[in-house]
Amino acid sequence: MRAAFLITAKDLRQRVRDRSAVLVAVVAPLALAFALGATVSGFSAGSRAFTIGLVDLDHGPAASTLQDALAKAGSSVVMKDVATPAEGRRLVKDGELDGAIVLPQGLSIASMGGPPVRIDVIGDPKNPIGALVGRSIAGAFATSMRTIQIASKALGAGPAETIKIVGRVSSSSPPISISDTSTTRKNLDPKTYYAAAMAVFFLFFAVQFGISSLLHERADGTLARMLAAPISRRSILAGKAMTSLALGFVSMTMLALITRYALGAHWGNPLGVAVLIVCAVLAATAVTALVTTLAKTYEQANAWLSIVSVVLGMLGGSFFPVAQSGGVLALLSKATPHAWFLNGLQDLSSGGALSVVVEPAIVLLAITVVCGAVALVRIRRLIEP
Amino acid sequence: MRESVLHCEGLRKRFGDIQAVNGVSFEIASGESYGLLGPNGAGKTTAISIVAGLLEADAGEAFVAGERLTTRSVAAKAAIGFVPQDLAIYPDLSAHENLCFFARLYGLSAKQAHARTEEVLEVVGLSERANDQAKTYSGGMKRRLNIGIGLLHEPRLLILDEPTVGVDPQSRNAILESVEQLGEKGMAVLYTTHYMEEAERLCDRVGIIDHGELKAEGTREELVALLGEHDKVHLTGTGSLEAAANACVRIGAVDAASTGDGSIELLVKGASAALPEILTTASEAGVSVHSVEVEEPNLEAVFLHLTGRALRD
Repeated sequence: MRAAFLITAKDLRQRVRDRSAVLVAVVAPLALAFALGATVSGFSAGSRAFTIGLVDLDHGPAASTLQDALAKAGSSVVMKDVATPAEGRRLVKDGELDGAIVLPQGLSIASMGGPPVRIDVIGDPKNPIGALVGRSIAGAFATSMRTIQIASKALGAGPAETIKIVGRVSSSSPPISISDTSTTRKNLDPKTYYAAAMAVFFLFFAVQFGISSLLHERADGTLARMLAAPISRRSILAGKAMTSLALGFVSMTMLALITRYALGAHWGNPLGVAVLIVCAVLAATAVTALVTTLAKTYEQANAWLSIVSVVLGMLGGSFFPVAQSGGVLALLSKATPHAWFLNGLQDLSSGGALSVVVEPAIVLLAITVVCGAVALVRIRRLIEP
Repeated sequence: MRESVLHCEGLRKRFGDIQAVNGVSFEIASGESYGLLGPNGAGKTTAISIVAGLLEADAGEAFVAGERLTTRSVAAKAAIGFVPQDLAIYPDLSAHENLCFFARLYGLSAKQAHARTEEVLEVVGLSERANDQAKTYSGGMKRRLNIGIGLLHEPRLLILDEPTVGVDPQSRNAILESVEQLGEKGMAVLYTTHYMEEAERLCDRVGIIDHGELKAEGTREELVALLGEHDKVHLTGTGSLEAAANACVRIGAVDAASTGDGSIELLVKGASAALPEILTTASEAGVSVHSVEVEEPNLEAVFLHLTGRALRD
């Protein structure tokens, strides 16, 4: 083991010196986690308020109903009064508004059984989400107006009575509320999701510096020199495997700590996270070792490992939750260490007990055993001059 | 009588259809320099890889300092210092770090490794650049570091596989001087080369290897004596050199012939008497002879005599 530790220490010194490991294991995943997390957070309705202009050409009770309803919607939508449709168009074009709704003259009368009118929504093609929000509000408002109209007709109410009904509807609480319980409990917030997803994605690149460097050393002749030394071949292999494991653990641990304290990611129970990290690093090292044994040269190994890392990362949900699309992709996703790591973390982060990591940990260890065993059988040919 | 440090008996190694080493046997005593002389592809590197414990022989056995040598024998390997043909150093580590790493790998403690590193840096003349990364060194400096690593643990047997290939004349001379000093210190040296001058200068005994077989071995004098009355005749000229060489070899006094860059090498018994016939034959074969030189036999002539081809072929 002494020789193995010497080889690991030498490898780590080389990796730190050429900065490649720091870049791949920490800087790149951190930058991508931050960028992807921030981008996806930006699209989240809970974290960004949309400013919608309201052009009230009706000046009747219908507009105040809409304003009251939006006021109850919370901070996600801010209404701003706009004098004319032309001004609304200008403000949307200039980006001051995400969209604008034009309530036409005669809207209130229409809701009381008058001639039908049309609500216009002004949007900017460059801001499709803002236009979508405006359309959703206008659609919901039209539906509620239609409901009031039906109720008035059913009750045989005249215009004065209908205005009272509108007032009562706008001030009352809705009889049914919808809460997306499964989503809020199960899904990680974007910052945490991408912190974990990028950590496990780049883990597969970080661990390559250990095992695959056997091929590099063979090409450079330094492996022959080690083989001529009075040490066992197993200690050379152990040294390389320990380099992979050390880089993997350091990378994952640093990313967990940095994203926790600098980006506000919520990884969950530290012990559970530690178990998942250990199992993921072992699995990544085993998969890397297996792919390395299939290659003949260092360059070939690097190319194959990059392809395998990207494909596994994409299937495993490092960039988007592929499993949610169902079918074959969901099935393939389950074959990746990435998916099991992220699933374990999701369960853990949503308040699950420590026991929720048992299943993903067992699967990750099974991947380690299967890939590691095949790699061990094949790796003998790499430890030759 | 000097103690035997390396003893090889009937070493064989085959790669597919190629018999790379075929029944090679030799012995090296302490303080002795032994050269394996042969052209590229003769089997030198394979033989040396078996003796360094890198390759397992298909048959035969080797003992280093009394320990049986296999790819797994730790005790035998501890007695060997190995300097591979290609540079085997870490370019992004300094000379000091390279040496310390391999010293520790050979079982030296941290303190011993540091002390030996300083000594070896002095021997190979790299003390002043000890802390610079090896990638910043000149080719000669890298070669010296490559050799220094083999000396770290003061091995009883130092194996050098063509250490001067691709080295400038100045560094080459420095390397040869270092190897000469090692023999004087009692270290057994196994040196492979395809440069006849190096073998003649450095080695107490030389083994001539070709097509994986050890054709002959002995001191320079013993090997040259194998030639008997032969002389080496060196012709330079223009024209059909290959045809002239083939024609000359049919002359009774000519034992072997080979062509080089604008020249023909002939191994001739009684050169002065045979020279007119040689020149006539060469001329009839279409060669315009520019110069003729009759040289005292050397190891190259021995190689030509034993294998029928030149060392550079």
